[in-house]
Amino acid sequence: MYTKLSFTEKYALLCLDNLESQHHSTLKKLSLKAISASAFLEEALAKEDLSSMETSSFHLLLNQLCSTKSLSQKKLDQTEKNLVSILKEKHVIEETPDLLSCDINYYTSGIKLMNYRSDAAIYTRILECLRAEALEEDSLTEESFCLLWLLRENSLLYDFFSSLEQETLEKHLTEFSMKCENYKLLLQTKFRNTGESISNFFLSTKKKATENQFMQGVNLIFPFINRRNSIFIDTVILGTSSSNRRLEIMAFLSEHGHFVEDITLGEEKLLKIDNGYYRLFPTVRVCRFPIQGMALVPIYH
Amino acid sequence: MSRQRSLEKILSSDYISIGELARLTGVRYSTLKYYTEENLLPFEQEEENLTRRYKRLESIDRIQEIKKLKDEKLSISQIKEILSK
Repeated sequence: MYTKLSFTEKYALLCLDNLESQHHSTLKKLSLKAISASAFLEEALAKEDLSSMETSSFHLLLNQLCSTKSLSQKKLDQTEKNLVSILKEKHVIEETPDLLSCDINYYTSGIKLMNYRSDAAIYTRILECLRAEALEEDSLTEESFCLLWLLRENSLLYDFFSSLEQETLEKHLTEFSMKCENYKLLLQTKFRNTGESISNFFLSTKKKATENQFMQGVNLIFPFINRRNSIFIDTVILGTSSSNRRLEIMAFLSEHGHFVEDITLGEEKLLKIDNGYYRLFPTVRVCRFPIQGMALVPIYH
Repeated sequence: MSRQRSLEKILSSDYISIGELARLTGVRYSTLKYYTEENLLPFEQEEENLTRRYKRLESIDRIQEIKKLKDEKLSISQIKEILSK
C-alpha cells in the first residue's frame, strides 16, 4: 500500500493523524493549506527535479504555493473531504473517537469528539524514513526536503524531532538549501498569514511550555492550561493492584475504539495509544469527593 | 542522492541507506541507529563522512531475527551474544 500513495497522500497521513475530524481548528486549517500546497509540489516533482527547474517556472511554483495562504474555508473543507475519501478508500485513514473523549469530564457529559487516525504501519514508515533522511549526514532528498518544509509551515515539524535532533535538522536543512538557489528560495517561502502565525505561535508556545516534566505536573492540577495533555480516566475498583488498574485502563481505551499496546522501555512501562506514546500516572481528582484514576501523560520524541 | 528511489529500485539494489531500511521494515530510525551502534546491524562506509550503506537482504533478515528474539523477551545484550555466535 505504501507504494501506491502519492506525495500529497503521504503528507496528509502525517499531518491529519490525531486531528479532530468534525470541527475546525487553527492547526487543521494550516494542515489543509499545506496539503493544498503539497499538491503543487507533487505536480512539480513529477515533471522534473526542483534543482533543475528554470527560475521562471520555479517562481511560478512559489506563487502557487503562496496562493494557498488565501484559500477560503469552503475550499479547504472541500480539499479535506476529497482527500479523506480517497485515503479511506485506500484503507489508510479512519475516523476514531478522540482520546480526549475518554476523559472523565467529556464522557460523563456525553461529548463525543472524533479524530483522524492514520494506519500505524504506514505512518511509521513515512515518518521514520523522513526522520532518517533528515538526521543522517548527507542523506536528504528533494521529497523529504519538501515534506520538511511543508511540516515547518504547518508547525508540526518540531513535534517529530526532539530538541537535540532539531539542531541537526536545522543544520542539514541549511546545508541542503545551499546546494541550489531553488531550495534556498523554497526554504525562505512562507504561506501562513499573520493572524494564523500569531495564534499558532501562542498555541505552540502553550503546548511547548507543558512538555517539560514540571509543567506536566502543573497541567495535571490545572488541566485547562493544555487540556489535551491532561486526560484523566477514573479507575475506582476496590481491592485491586496497580497492574489491575493498568489493565482496566487499557480495556477502557480499547472499548472506546483505540489501539492500545503495552510497551516496556528498560524499567519503564509505557502505553502506545494509536500513534502516540503515553505514561500512566496514578492521580486523584477531587470534586465533591476524591476520584482515583490515571492520567495519560504524553511522551515527546 | 537528491531524489528518493522508488521501491522497485530499492528492492533491486544490493545496498540501501538507513532511511530506505526504515521504509522497508517500518522500524524506527532511532532503533536502527541503536542496533548499528551496538554492532547488531552491519554496515559499510567508504569514508568516515560518507553515508552508511546496509546490505539489503542481510539487514532485513537480521532485523527480523532481532525482532523474534525480542519477542522471546531477551535483552539486547543477550541478543548480541546469540547473534555473535
